[in-house]
Amino acid sequence: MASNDKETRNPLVRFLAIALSVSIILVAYAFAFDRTDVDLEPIKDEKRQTQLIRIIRGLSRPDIIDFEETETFHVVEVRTPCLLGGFEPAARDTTGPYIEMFPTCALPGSNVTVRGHGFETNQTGPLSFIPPSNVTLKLADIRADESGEWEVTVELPDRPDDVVQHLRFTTTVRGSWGLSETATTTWDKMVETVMLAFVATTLGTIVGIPLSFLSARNLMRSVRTPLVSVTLFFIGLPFGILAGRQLGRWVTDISADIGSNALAQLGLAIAVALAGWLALRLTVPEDDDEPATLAERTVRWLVVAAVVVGGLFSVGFFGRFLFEVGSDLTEPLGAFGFLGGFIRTIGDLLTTFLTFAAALTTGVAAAVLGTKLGHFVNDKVPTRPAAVIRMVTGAVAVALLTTTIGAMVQWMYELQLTSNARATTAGAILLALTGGLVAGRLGRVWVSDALGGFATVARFFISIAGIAIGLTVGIFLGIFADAAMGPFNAEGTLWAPAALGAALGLVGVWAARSHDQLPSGMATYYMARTLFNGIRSIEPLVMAIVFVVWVGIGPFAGALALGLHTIAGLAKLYSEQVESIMEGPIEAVAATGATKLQNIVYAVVPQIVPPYIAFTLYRWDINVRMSTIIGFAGGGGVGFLLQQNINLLQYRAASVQMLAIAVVVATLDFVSASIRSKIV
Amino acid sequence: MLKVEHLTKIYDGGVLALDDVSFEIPDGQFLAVIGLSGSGKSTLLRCINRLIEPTEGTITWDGVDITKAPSEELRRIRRRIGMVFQHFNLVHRSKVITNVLAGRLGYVNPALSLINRFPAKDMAKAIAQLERVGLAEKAQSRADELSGGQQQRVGIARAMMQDPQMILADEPVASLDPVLAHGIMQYLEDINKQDGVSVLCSLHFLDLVHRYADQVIALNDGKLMFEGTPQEIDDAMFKEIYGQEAERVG
Repeated sequence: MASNDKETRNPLVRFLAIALSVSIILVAYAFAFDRTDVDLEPIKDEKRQTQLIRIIRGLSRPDIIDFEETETFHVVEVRTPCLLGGFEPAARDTTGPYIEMFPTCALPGSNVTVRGHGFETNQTGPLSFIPPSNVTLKLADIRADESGEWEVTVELPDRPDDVVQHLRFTTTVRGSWGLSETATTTWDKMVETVMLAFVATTLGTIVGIPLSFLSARNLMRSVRTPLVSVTLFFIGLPFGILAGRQLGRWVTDISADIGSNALAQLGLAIAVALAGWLALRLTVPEDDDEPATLAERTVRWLVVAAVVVGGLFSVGFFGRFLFEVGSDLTEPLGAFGFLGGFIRTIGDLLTTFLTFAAALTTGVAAAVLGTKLGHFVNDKVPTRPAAVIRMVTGAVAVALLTTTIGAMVQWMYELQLTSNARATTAGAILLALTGGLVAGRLGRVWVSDALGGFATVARFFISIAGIAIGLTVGIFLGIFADAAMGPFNAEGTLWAPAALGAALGLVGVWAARSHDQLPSGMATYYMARTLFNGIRSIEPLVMAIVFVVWVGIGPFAGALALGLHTIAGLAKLYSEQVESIMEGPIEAVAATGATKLQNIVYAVVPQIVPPYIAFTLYRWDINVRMSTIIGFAGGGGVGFLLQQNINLLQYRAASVQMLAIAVVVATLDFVSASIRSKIV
Repeated sequence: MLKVEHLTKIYDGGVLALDDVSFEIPDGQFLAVIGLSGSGKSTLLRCINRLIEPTEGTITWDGVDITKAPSEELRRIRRRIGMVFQHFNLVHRSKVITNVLAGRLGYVNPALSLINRFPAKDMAKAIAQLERVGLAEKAQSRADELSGGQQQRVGIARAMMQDPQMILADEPVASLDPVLAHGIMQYLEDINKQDGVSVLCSLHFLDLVHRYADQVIALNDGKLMFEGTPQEIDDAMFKEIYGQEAERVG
């Protein structure tokens, strides 16, 4: 019995165990105190205490309200030293308050008496000497008596001059109260902060939603693709992107050539869009009764391609139109000029991202076409030709991938390696991968499934052994090649990864079973998840530094940094929501013969709308909080002011900004919580 | 004619759900599948339209091997097989009419359906199917506002939108009370007799089997235990299907 064991345990052993654990804990704390510099001396230091009190007092008096103050100057002319014949100051209005000096002139440094008459009871203010340079030399603080009179003896400063100088008594009248300048700038920046968060959340939502489907396990698990489709996907993608980029540039150039006639641009945009819509309606049938013939399919693809080009033109013209109209509207709209600016920016956005969108669309289209072609090869082409196609496409696809990776590595790290050293490294890595793959295949053949868990372990070690062998062989081959052939020429740096990639592709195709359906869905899932976790682990504050360099200091940089972080954060939250929906409707819609995309629209989307809205609001809430500090890195918003004021030791101003952040965050928290509770 | 031969399904965890099952259904037959929970009834039905991929064996329907069909062809096969579920599997937040129209997704143009556009004749068909199950006035309600029996009728309407030649019904009445159960079964019977649609229906209660089925197959632990007419199930056979401790009720 376990409880019996405890009771019968030797008390000495128990005591020692407790003593040991207590001392371990004590040592841990001692180390922690040492590392965190726990030191009570500064706390007791009086000078530091005074500073602390000053800060706390500053923070507790936020500079929100100030009073309108009107200053009145009461001046008397003065000569120092006296001229021959004395000096009579210019006459003053003696019906109101005025000041006079006795004597009316004196030597610099001598004592004079100054009197004030007719002031308010207990009126206070400074009495100053004003030399011709117009600086203010304060002589005394004045306080009038109950009848509004005052008299003071002061020493004239040592400022001899042969022109008339002045004595000045300044009175201040406190008027109506109003928001301080700090408060108004804080308000401005706070609006900027909330809007920054708004833009960032919008960006995150728009990009995050499609990504969330790619990273939902329940949707991706069943997606399996034949090997040929995967390889053709990776061949189609880069060529599509290159072609699309060219197309986008061409469209941009042509739509720029139309000139700045807004009506012509709008007309063209609408005409092209309508033509595209009509073409689609005529060629794409409502029903999908019979399997389309190859000719029909080709015609449809051509029409769709033409419509995509037309659509790009339409977007290009429309973007120009918005840009022009927005620019023209900014002036006449006056206070609402920001609306014109917005239209202009949207137009600019459309034209700027046209090339990007074209590259993306064409890339994806080419990749999808490749996938469909792959399905065709897998299902319809006889075994032998299919095997040849598999080999060729596998080699090309992996070669493209390795070349791209090589180019990216070179671009980022600007390696100054000799070309053969680079080739050796690439070769060793690729041979290691090859070894791993071959060993993996052999492991599958050699080790029987019946061994259960042991089979997995055995295969793992066989794969590791394969990788090790490949790596060793690769390194020796590299050394041998280096010694035998000398440095490769410049093209070798491009062709070496390509050739090795091709070899790897061939081996990979050979290692896969001919009709294997690769788990492309889960591969996408893991890639997307890794990407999100990577992006999410970088604080927006750090991202802001990069964006500040790119787009300059200001809220736009902050919005981009927060937006990028939001994409990753929301995509993860969204995808977890997709993973928790009811499977029944998905199954039911799949059973009707719906495609994957139809299934998402009809069975998945209706289930996730409320949580998506809730998460978006929640994220906006977070973004407002984050955007209050993103200004610390130059990302705009209220944080910029806060940091400035803290650095300038203006604690009363900093206090206003802290207060504003607290109020706005609390308000938004409340608002988003109540909206969420209404929706869900 | 649906011909199932040597159908075996082993799940990833190694569970043997179907063990060498073979049977045939002539067109227009009402076939009941009986057996205890976990005996493989649901797996069998889902293997036929490949919602679950069979491990081995062939399923031939009108001369086409469903198990070998590539994805595009599988979609065309699936759209001719309606399916009705124990838990109805409606999309709760969508309108009833949208749920019914979803039955047409295999037929309409995928691109247009993504923006929720259906041809006018499909809209009319959806209303007609809802009228057939007596729910035309609920077309614009949200699916989760309906009662269980009503939801299952929507499920049947959705299946009928597919112009099916066969209906797979996975315990269609197990979540309903006996009165509603007969209502639903009568719709299935009507579809079977009037429209000549084959029905493959898994059931719990033997009285329903006797009342509605032309032919019965029984599964126990993934094995086919019995194939014949409902009248042939005597007490000995009953004990073999349901286990020695089982008592015959109803």
